Amino acid sequence: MKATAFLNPLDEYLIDGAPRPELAHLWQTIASVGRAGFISHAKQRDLYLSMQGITFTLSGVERPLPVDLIPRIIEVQEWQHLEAGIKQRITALEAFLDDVYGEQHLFRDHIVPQSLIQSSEHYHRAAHGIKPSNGVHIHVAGVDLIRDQHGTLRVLEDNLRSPSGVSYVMENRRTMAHVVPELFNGYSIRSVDEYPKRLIAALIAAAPAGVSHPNIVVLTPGVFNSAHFEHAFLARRMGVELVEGRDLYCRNNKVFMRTTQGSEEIHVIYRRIDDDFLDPVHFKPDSLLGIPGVLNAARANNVSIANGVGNGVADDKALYSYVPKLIEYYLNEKAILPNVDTYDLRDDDVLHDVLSRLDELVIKPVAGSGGYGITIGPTATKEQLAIVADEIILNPRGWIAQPLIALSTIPTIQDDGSLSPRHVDLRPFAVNDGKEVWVLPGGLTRVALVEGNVVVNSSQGGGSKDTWVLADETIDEKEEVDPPEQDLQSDPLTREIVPQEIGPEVLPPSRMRQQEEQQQQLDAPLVVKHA
Amino acid sequence: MLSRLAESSFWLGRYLERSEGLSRLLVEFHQLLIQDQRSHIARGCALLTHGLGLETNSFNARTLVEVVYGDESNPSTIRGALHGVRSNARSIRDTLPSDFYESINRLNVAAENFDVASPGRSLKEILDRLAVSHGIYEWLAPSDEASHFFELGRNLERMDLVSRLLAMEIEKEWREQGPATTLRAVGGLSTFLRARVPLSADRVRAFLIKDAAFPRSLSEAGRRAESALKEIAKINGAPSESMLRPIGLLGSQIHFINDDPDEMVRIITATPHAVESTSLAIKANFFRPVGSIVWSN
Repeated sequence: MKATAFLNPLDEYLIDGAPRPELAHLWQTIASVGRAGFISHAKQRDLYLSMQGITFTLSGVERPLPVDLIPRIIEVQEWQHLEAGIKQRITALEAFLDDVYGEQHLFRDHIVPQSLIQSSEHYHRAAHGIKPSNGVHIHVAGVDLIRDQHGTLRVLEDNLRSPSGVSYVMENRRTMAHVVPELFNGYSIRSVDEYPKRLIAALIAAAPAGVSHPNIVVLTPGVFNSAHFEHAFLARRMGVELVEGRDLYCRNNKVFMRTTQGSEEIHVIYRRIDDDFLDPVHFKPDSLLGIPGVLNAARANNVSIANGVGNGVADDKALYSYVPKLIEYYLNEKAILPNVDTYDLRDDDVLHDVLSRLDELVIKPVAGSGGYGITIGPTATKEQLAIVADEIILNPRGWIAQPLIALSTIPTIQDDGSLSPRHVDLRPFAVNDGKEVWVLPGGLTRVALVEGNVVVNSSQGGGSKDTWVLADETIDEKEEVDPPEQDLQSDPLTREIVPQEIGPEVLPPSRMRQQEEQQQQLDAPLVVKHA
Repeated sequence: MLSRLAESSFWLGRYLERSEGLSRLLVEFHQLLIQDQRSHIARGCALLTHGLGLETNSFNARTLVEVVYGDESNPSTIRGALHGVRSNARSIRDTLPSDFYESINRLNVAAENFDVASPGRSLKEILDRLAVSHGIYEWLAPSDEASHFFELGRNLERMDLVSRLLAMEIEKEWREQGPATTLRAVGGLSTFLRARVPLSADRVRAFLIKDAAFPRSLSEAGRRAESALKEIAKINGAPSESMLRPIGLLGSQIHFINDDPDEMVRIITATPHAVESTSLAIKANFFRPVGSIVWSN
């Protein structure tokens, strides 16, 4: 049985087989490309992605992250709503982290049970009391959203540690413009190119106090990591060094990089390795990827670590259900983006209820990520459900249950060039520089390429779609772009242009005729002309 | 060496560089414009065609591709420059490494297969073929007088193209994507970013004018042109000072440039003139056009 066969998912393109009005033009273009067109475009895309090295490593094999050629469209108003919701959420979670690793008012006010936080495997006592210089813990966030059968966008989870995928957002746009330029015709789409600039600005802002020209690095686990392409991409686009743990060392609570000119002090580390591996002094003692002593250097405010250590406590799946409450507590506002209903299995009554209808629900491990360990009730076998039930009873804190939501669908190209609806989610990315939470227009739309499948994670073989946020036609960007004092004299179009130089004609027709004639002796026996 | 051979080597270098530069420029400009359908598209088309000295009423991304890709009869277009490459190579094929000539013929096939509906793919194909031709030339062509003419042509064209690109001021007009587009259009984005400075219009302009490490900056291309020209003059025992003057003067202006934007504009505007003067000077000194025989009694 298909997971959502008994629910009616909403299609983001078609209502009863007809395109939504704003997509009519695009739909027509798609029809004109046709099956054969998409088959050949798909070949071009695969070649392009492989040649560009835009890859994702899955189970040790490097492969292109498949981008489907039908884009997802988000309209102006919906985007404004989403943007506001994400800003609100990140601002509240930022306040939460500051509180948890600081004065812990929330426990005294009984907002979240202290036991829930302290039992989280991502809560790190070692991070307690570390005050980031500009107050930011969540420099980069990825918020996973899904659209339910009524069209409402809901937050599925927050990713506040090392959310990945943003490089694919930028590369997908370039790939689309390269492979299917015709689809863009008639649409004005907000650019996604600003991200590296925003990220580097946020990292500069995060530098330890008193450092005006910080040395920034991207810390990667290495080439075998699934997201290595992204690490290299971000380092390259920000113009900073991509380092591995072995390139750095700590001395006197300062972090240094080994270079041909000796040691160079590092002020900001954008790390893409997990807390557990970051510092063998405090965490996994056998970590080969980390830098011994880096946490102490951060505590001494000699280096800033982005994202903050211990952020995982805020994107813990068990804390998730408290986020609307946190928004009210810290911001005194109602949550703009609703959550998916989540059952807290530590409550005995709830546990009992959930166990009685496991076959209707989605069961997720609290600690998991990447779609691993998820059980989808309606598609699971009895044996699988029995195993999950046993595990839940053993450790109710380790699991959450959610009702099954029919993820919305978008037409997606199949191997034979035809279109078929596939489930999607959306991960917008936000960057916080301490003054403003900025949200990248769009985000990564992940698509489950297998029919009926609702797990869209890249690590589960999902693909992606380019996500177009339509530009607001009511704002005339042109005015913003051109400095008002620009006079006509300095307009490049009014300047006189020297024509490009042209070389002599090396094979002029006049010579060609005579040169040809010289060969007639050879040609004569073959061609006999009669006057 | 044979004057005709010298002239064809010179123009072979120029046209190879021109087709490469224009192709990159069109790829990146096309990317920029199709993602920005609304306010800038007509303006973008006008900037590019005006800057290249092409005439058009082009107002959308597709017609822009048609105009800049052009045809064989116009050497200021990609197709025309590729035709120039092939014609010059053909007329001196006896002196060229055969592998190189083969690569030029393959390039020609890529040009014939150009598909205006899919410019990204087609231009990428052409750029790949151009890279092969450049590589084979570097590997196999002897470092003789012909190669100095080739090198001179290549670097003069490089200076001309970079100054034209900067004169379009894409990096100023498209505040978000412009600076990266300008750098990509000359393949310089990665090199720029290695300097670990934030991407901004002014920095991009300064980089493309005076960076000492990037082979396509005006300063570096000028230096290479100058050294090729010196070699040519030495081999032929010709006085080099007057020929070196235009790019030499430009070089010292660049060397002492400050951050004044007006000064940058002056250098950008002066570059095509310096290139043209140098081109005319070597033509007068080394190329003997047909009809230049002087009868004496």
